[in-house]
Amino acid sequence: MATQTKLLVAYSESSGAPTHFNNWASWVSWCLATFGWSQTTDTGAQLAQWLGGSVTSVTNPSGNIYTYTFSGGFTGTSTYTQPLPGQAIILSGFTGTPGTGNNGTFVVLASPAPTSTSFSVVNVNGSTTYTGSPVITLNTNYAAAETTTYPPANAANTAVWEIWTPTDALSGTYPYYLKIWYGAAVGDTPQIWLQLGNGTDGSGNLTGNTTIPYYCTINDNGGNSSNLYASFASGDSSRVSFALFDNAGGNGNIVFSVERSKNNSGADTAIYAHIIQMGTYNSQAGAPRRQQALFPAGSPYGLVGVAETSSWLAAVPATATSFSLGTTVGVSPVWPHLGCLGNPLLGVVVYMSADFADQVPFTASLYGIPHVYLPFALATNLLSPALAANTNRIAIRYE
Amino acid sequence: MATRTASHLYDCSTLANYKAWAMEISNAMGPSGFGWRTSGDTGIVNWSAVGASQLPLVTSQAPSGNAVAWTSGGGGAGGGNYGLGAVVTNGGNTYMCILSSGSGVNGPPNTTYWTPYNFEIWAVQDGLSPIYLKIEYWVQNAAGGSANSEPKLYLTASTTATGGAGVLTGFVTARVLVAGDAANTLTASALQGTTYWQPWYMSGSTGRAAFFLYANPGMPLVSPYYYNQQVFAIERDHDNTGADLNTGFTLVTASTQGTTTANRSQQSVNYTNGLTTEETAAWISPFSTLTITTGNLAFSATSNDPGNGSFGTVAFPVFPNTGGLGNQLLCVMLTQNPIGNSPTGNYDHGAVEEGAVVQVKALGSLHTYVAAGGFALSQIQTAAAGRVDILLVRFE
Repeated sequence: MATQTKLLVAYSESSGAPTHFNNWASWVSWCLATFGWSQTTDTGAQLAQWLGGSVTSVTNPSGNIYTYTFSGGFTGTSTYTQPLPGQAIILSGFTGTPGTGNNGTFVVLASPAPTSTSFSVVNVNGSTTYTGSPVITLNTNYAAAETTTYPPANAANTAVWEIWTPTDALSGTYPYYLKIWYGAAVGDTPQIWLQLGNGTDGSGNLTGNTTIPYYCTINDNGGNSSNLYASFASGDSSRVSFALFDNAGGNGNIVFSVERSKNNSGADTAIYAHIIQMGTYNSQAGAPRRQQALFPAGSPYGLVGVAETSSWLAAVPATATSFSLGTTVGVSPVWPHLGCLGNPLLGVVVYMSADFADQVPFTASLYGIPHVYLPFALATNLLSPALAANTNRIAIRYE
Repeated sequence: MATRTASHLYDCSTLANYKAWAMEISNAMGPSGFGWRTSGDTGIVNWSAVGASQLPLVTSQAPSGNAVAWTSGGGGAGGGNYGLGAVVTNGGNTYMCILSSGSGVNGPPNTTYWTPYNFEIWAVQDGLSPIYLKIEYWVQNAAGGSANSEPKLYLTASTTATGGAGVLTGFVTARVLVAGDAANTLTASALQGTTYWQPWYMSGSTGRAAFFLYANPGMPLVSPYYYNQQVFAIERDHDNTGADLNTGFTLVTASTQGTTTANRSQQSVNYTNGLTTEETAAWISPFSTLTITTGNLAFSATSNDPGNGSFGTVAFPVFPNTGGLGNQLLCVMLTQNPIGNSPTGNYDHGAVEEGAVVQVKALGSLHTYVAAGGFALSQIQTAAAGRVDILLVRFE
């Protein structure tokens, strides 16, 4: 388990160099790689690339493993300082035969370990023949203004995407895939679309059972090219929880969390995967909220769980403004909606704003086990605007 | 554990109907029912002494202070006039002052100054820490309703022994109204003619009680048939197997006041830390934030349980506030009308028509519930306006 934090500008360029866009989007990507997730090698014009640079040599340390040395990379973002295991990289510009076999999309291997000037991949068509002017593709797509309708790619330079998959022990039993579109909302504010699926077609489309793609963004007021907002993430090879641009525009953030189903002890199971997300969009009532479970192929329980579209399933007071009694302070977990309630998720909890200070981690016991959560008291994208007190807030798992 | 059923008119316009209503609850709570014991406080109603003139018309005035014997010289240390809410006994009955100056010749049963005040206080007998439940039996005469016609309860619970004269002590919950809709009296029906006997479902034990009064099974989901259902329940905290804990208890109520406003209350009491804030907008449940859907979520004790969780059906738990979420209550659960979101059409809630008895897995075991629906209860969760909700009331 790990935590990450970074100050990010909440801005997605709709023209010119995508500097801020690349910074925040690549940080999400970098976190996923850092937590141990692996990117797929799906191809497509909008597949995100964060490195850039010129390939200077190719070696073949063993079998189908090829090591590429490069220079001049890392110009596109402030996040990646070297390739990371699990990250997908596009190589192009090799010419001739057999050199062109080096062109393609590959996932960086953990061993041989990548460095700031080299990385290794499995490439069945690889060749040590160095011809042409090979490069690591750098994302130069900027994020044209988005709509809130799916699909998010409504223009050539919109919503670059990645597909990631967990690498935990259960991934052999039940692999699932998370597609992330990085884009912009009205006002050049960042916007993310998210979807879970049971597979990919190699061209960037999730296959098998899939959740309903849905977006989360921040309030328009956050859209400017100078303000920095704290962003947080935690995760491991099976789960991730993000809170981006906290209190952007004075009232919002983007929260999403993906994890596996839990047993009665809170341990991961391979029965389903779950995504939960929320953002702010112009008004609290309009804040996009979504949660949905994804079942593996052939599951006796169905394809996907019920898509909760207006709120998360949590239990908080509607009258009381604090969830404390005596020396005890409570939070509510969020339950998956499977047609019944699944065991509570761990990636997020809901609390009352009076109970915890903004961005000060607290420990909550779920399944009898203490877990650390990071609360966002200032961001007012609430669990449910319909709850009268409107003092509930969100905390992400942060450990 | 015991279950009881009954049928009653939604009417207290006669002494017989009033006593039948009130004593049904009393009998359910008492030794011949769930096994609670009376606290024996001064002022507790003696049903045999309640006559036609002892029908207590509900008032905005709440009782205050111990029940004391009425004296013509008046109450208070100086023997002056009785104050509003003063409770006195006189002639075998109990009265509450509704207009000061209830002294001298203005003594009870003078209805200008006094109203009959019929209450009971019941105590658990399960061997754990005390729970006291005070039940006040009133009759509605508010504007919009038929005078002297509607039954109304006030409920208050506490943790420690009473003062012996009708006043609860220790940690004391807010006094909660449980009543039907004053504007929609229902003494007749198309099905039953001038008498409409509505089913009651009650269950309890020496440590808990759950009531669902005035069900409307099979009736059209139109006014006034869906306005009068009433639910209240009290039970202890539970461990994760559903066994009672000696840490605290919760009182929940749901009923209708007016055609669009439901009375909702959830109050938890912890023996160490005291009272939680009374939840009046909604019970604490993930059901409060459930997206309105129209899917037919069938009831089945063996329905899919992919989470291997505590809840094996579509029934949503209600949680006590124990400074966070305690293990779910067993006395009530919530679910959604599976056939739609609008309180129109037939009063048939698909698999869970009102009065249907279903089994639900909760805290690892199957429990039996009776379904309570209708508009009166459909707005139990304000967050779900427009949704027809179903309350499941423990019935085992």
